[in-house]
Amino acid sequence: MTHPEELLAGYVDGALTEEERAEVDAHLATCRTCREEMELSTLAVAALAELPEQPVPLGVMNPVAAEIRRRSAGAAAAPWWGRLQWAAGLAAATALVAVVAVALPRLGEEERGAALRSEAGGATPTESVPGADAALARGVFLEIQPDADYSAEDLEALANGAAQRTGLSAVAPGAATVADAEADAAKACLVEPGGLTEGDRLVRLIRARFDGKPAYLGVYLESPGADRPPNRVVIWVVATKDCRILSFSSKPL
Amino acid sequence: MPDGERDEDLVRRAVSGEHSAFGILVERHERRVYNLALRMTGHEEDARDATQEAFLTALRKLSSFRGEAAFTTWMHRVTVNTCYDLLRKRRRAPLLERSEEHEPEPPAAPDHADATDLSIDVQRALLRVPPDYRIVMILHDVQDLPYEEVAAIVGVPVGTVKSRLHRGRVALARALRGRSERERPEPPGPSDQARSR
Repeated sequence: MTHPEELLAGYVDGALTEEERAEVDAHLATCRTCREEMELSTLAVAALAELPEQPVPLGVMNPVAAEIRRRSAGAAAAPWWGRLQWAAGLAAATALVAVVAVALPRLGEEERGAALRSEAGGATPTESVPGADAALARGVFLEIQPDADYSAEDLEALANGAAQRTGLSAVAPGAATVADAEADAAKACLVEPGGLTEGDRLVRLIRARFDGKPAYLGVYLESPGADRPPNRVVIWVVATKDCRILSFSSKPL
Repeated sequence: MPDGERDEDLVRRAVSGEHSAFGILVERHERRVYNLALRMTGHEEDARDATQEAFLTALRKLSSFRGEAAFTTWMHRVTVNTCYDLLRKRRRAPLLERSEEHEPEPPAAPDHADATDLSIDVQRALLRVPPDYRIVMILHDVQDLPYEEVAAIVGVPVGTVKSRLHRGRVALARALRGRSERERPEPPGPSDQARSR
């Protein structure tokens, strides 16, 4: 007996024409083997539907990202997804993940300084910023917020606050601190775990607390490639003690 | 908006030297590629290696992508070839002859023990099906690709995809039911005549 093998898969999938289906039905009426196999086939399709899609493990794409970077001579920013994996891994490992979606408008170079001078959103206000211009020129600037203790929600407020205050030009009066040496250390701390690069476009750098732990907060704007406008904002929170990731958030602009 | 660009346009940009465009392609396709490799190899470590190698190979050979097929199809083809190479290198093919000592690693789903057990059983059974049959089930039944695209990826006629799909499903169900497939070098089909056509 010849079995309509090429039609049997389509029969189970419901992908046959009426004519083809009638042909298979006629065959099944007389072929016990095919009837049994149809039952098995249906069972297999249902079983395969139970296979869950698995997330890509952390770090899998690092060699690919490295190769892209290597080929992109002079390209500053690493693809954002590499960092997400890196951060998510560390954060999960320490059970300290706190992902908060944030939004920032695109910040041009001229807006950057204003953003840096803006107040923190949900935490205690940023203090004055003597020496900020010089630090800005080098892309290294640290806002000291000794009494601020950020929560995950505060990260969102921080971003929103920065977004709303990009037009401000005046520096908030008060006791501001810019520690250039520490700013360099803070930036290095954000870069150290391997997910960030020196070329990332830092918008704000803050020393405060996160859930009670002394932390550096870095707000980055990321571009999909050199000479292209930023399309994503990422906020990183690392422990000042050991540069361990405490939290991060990311959202397309 | 870069994220809305067609894959083929991103390929063009990447080939013209804007390598970061390839990063967007990776971002778009990494999950599918990884899961294809995971189901094909049954091991997270192998899937990681295959995923990395597939994308690195794609990056190296990107200029050979002519656009005759969709990038997704081409990327899947690269991944399938990478998986076959990996299976050959590690002497794990044909997997029907493989011992039970290398069981698939359980996926992390501690709060869904029953579902996890079931998916492990399915993955184990899947590894008992020969790769040529397994791949069409993964592409069609797991990743929902149409017969025609599966045929383009695997490089066989559509009719062959359909018959392999049926035979693979039957073999999988029998493996799930605990029948030993080791004595059967190929999954039994309803007609050996059809197989040789």
